[in-house]
Amino acid sequence: MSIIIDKVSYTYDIRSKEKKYAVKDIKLVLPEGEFIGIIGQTGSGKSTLVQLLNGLIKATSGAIYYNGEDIYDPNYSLKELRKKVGLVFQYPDYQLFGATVFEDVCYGPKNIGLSKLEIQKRAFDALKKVGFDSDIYDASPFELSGGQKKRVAIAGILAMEPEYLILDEPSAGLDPKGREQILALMKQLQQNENISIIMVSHSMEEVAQYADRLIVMDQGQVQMFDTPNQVFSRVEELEAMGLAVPETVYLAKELKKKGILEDDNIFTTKQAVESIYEALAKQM
Amino acid sequence: MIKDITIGQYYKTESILHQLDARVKLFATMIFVISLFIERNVFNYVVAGTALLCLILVSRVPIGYMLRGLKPIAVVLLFSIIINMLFTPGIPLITFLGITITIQGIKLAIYIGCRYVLLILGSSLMTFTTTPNELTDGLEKAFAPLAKIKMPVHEVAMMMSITLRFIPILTEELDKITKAQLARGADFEEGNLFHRMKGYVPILVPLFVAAIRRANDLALAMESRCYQGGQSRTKMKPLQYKKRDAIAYAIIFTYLGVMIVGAFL
Repeated sequence: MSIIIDKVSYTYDIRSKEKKYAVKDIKLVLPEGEFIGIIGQTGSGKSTLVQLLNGLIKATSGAIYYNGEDIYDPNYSLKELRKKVGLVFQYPDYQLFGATVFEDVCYGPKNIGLSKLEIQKRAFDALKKVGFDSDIYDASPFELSGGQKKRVAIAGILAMEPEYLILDEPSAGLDPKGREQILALMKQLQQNENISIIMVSHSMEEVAQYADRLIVMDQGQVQMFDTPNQVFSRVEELEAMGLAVPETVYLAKELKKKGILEDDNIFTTKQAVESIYEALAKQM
Repeated sequence: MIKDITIGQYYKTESILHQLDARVKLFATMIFVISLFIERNVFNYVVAGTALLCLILVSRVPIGYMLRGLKPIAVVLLFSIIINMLFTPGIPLITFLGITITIQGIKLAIYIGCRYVLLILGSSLMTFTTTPNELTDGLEKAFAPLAKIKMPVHEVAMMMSITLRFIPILTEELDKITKAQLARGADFEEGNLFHRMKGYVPILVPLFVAAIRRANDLALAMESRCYQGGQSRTKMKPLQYKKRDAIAYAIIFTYLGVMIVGAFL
């Protein structure tokens, strides 16, 4: 099971003569079960790429296969695809409309055409997964905090029980605590529910910490697709694309050069503190 | 889908039409609309059509782009043409399945069709060549004398420019909301009319919420800049008539004169 993107290009303006591609000649295989981070500067084509994945926009050229089936086949149901490949947009305000949180989460499963009991069961499950207690079920989604809204939005997609969960900038506009909560939730969903996570972000720190592999995009093209450690070893290239590597990566690389650290596979401050402490303890 | 609507948009070129004072263009549009209602005859419509074609050429807005603006209203246009064709009494031309098409009906349908097309192209030429800000500035200045009789001219103009400014933002938001709900399995084509209308609730609610939130933010931003409408406000770019505007007025009146004479032919 996988999503295969074969030579996909997309342009927003088909008519104009000199075409400006939002994404160009993308070739990717996104296997199941992985946590994949997509990073790139504003305008690098990240959001376009994720909208292509669940058929919200149709590629100008190229093909996309979901589990071996061509999603552009006239007989292929995009509605089915969107059930399997859930996409959570950056702003939860774009999708929340229900009078209550619970009602809003029910919208997705209701569209699938499940029985009333099954809809409610799924909504309960989804809200539980994102960490809500039943006391919030009857609240209006508009009264919630930014982080809570985001979690309701994610629950709305989770209730459809997708195999892939794509999140466009899930941590944007959240405080550090809310950000941590959302990202931990993503990791948990990947590990416990075996949902493949594809997360768009422009923060290196957060993708580095959680993603198994990173897609680096620049000017509509995939420049790198590798493990965080491999990606960060190409610091100069990343900087040329205007992407900053986490500070701790610089520190770890420097310390490895000096022979203090053995492993420079360090992306977070917490990891850095621990490994430096260990290394120093060993030297003592 | 929404991006296809070109009507009412601004198309930037460096033409003389773009540089004209907005008041001239407003006046010209008004005269053009009136002139189409003076008299239905071949001469007048040919004159109006030629004048419009010349203006479009001068404006350097691609004709194809302008015609695309007709697409969204094609249905309405077709509907009124057919209605006029079928229900105008007169000398019967063809009788088919109990429906009689008269010569007068066909004539009227052609005239009505032409009038619609000219009206829409004429008024959209104005919006193509005038930015919303210029337009409201022009309106405000043109109606300024009404402020003396306590008409809230400035306020209305301000409201208009805000409205126009928000159209592209809301269109973009509508697009995003639609996508977000499609991602949740929404289907806008399934079921009967009532069902389909209900299907739009998940789009309209977030759209209204967004609009109200934006309005609130804007009000706050204006207040914190001590915005006050009214007389003491000055413009960054005050409207001033130039020589080309005078020439334009002369052309407009000549056109009106030709059309009035044409009506008596």
